[in-house]
Amino acid sequence: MKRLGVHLADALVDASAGRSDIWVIDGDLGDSYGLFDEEGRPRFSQFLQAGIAEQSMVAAAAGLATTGKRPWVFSFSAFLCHRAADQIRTCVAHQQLPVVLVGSHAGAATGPNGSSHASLGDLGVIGSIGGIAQWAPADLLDVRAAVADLLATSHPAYIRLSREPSAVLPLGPGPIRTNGLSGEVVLLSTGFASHWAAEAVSELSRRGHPVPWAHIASLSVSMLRSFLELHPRMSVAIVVEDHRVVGGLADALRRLAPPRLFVQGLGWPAGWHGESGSIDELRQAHGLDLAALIRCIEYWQDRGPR
Amino acid sequence: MPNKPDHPSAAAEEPDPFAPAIARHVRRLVLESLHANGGGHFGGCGSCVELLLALFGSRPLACREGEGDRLLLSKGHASMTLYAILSLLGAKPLPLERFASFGSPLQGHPDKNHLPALDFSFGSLGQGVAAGIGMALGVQSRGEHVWVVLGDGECQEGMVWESAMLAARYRLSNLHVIVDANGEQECGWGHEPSFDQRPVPDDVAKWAAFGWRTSERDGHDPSLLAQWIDEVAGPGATGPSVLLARTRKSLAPSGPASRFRRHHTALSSSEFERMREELAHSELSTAGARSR
Repeated sequence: MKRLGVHLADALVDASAGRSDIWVIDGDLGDSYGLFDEEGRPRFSQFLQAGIAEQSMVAAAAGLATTGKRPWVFSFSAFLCHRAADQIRTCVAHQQLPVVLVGSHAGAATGPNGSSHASLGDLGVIGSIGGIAQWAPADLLDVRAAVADLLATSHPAYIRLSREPSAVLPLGPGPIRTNGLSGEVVLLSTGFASHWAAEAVSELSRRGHPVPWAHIASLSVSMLRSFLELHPRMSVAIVVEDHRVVGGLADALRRLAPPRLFVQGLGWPAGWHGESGSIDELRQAHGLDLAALIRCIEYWQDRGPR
Repeated sequence: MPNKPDHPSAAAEEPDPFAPAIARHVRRLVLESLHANGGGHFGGCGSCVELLLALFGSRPLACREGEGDRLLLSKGHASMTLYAILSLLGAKPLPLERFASFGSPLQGHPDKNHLPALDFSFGSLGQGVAAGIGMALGVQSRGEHVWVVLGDGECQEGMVWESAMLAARYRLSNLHVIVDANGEQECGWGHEPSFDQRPVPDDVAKWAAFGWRTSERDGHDPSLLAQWIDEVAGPGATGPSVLLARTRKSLAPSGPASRFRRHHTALSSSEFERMREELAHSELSTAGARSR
């Protein structure tokens, strides 16, 4: 298995063949997400190494975009979204320039790095700026879909990618990827947390308590509306995400949810900033491990319609 | 005060931070701890060993003694070197074997929430000088100093220079920066051989132009480092002051060859054993050294 950042670099290499408008800009971490070949050379003909300077990097990308180029800016999510937030706001979002921001190592999985490298509120930061399409791919299929969509359109975008290598979800392709079930209690997930959701769905199915499940990678309003339309009987949506409970997918769904729908958010605690450790240890410590997810889903299944 | 090279009568109860055996011992502890954790920032940890030891040997530090000067490891990815030195010279040994594991006080990057003895948390590069300004202002009246250890790649962050300008404007003579100038960074511009490969070209001139008292020395020479520390912390010294410490980005002579792996890597067993052998004979020679 590869990291999704490497999958994205692979997809972008393919897509940029023969195109001189695609630029890749790196914040000195490119070996962590596949921007260099085995000889240490950039895999892109139009490449800018910006150094350890996220704010300059984003503003430079915006400048490139004004000349008709299509910059893709790479760094770790924590540094990209937080340090360069003002450049993202004023240089990119306000001017609606087609800059794609790629934040690797998003979420709580930092391996040994710890809190400074965790990116638990990036969707909240980018979402509150507004005017930036947000993507949280879970696997190779999502990454390819995101790259294709963002090359076919020309608006600002942010893609968050987990550090963890990821397999393909047990779901078919599509804008909304589902297990085909519907009901009153529905599981919705995005990004790396969709692999946690897959574990829970599998275990509940084995126990004879199948749960409807939908995964989305594009976090647009239209996608959430489509999700709501897909489940007209839904009274409880349990949202699982590798993000703080504040500012992420659950909050976005709450803003659109009809009064009869309760949104149960399962994410990292609002006051927690991350720490060193394996993702399994972190999930267990904060109530996001498999047993905790199943307890929550079964609670709502047992409770019946609201 | 801990003993210095020119203090032969210093007590034999504590390891001497200036003894060559200590630096080798620290390097071996870093090597073993990072390798046991699956890898880490071997190069950047190795380049600052003598810098940190010189500070521990020259100044009373709050992180070691509970009061005294502040030490800000702005290049937080070298945390393991700080932990190893604190474990050897501090009030009590630290659980180096738990480095960067879940629940450990020794987080991958320095985290004051997990290890309260630290003066500040780091890991997002470029923030040390600014935090140091605030601390220097706060402790000025107590006669204490603030020492910030930066990486040279880290100096590409704009706020380093915003802070440099501010510190000079306020003539903060108790603020001191040591740049661990190992000449490398994670990726850099090695793919463009025609480019200047230095993380910060003409760094001495740049710091001087920003109004800092600037020096340049061998960052692995304890005597030169101690001499500079005494100079800039001495009575009547003007500031702020910066030392461009020329260092090598390696923990042992035969570290990884690739620029990416010199920054962060997992070692093979043979690489580990070879580096460990190179750091042999590093047992503490000081009688009474704390048993580990």
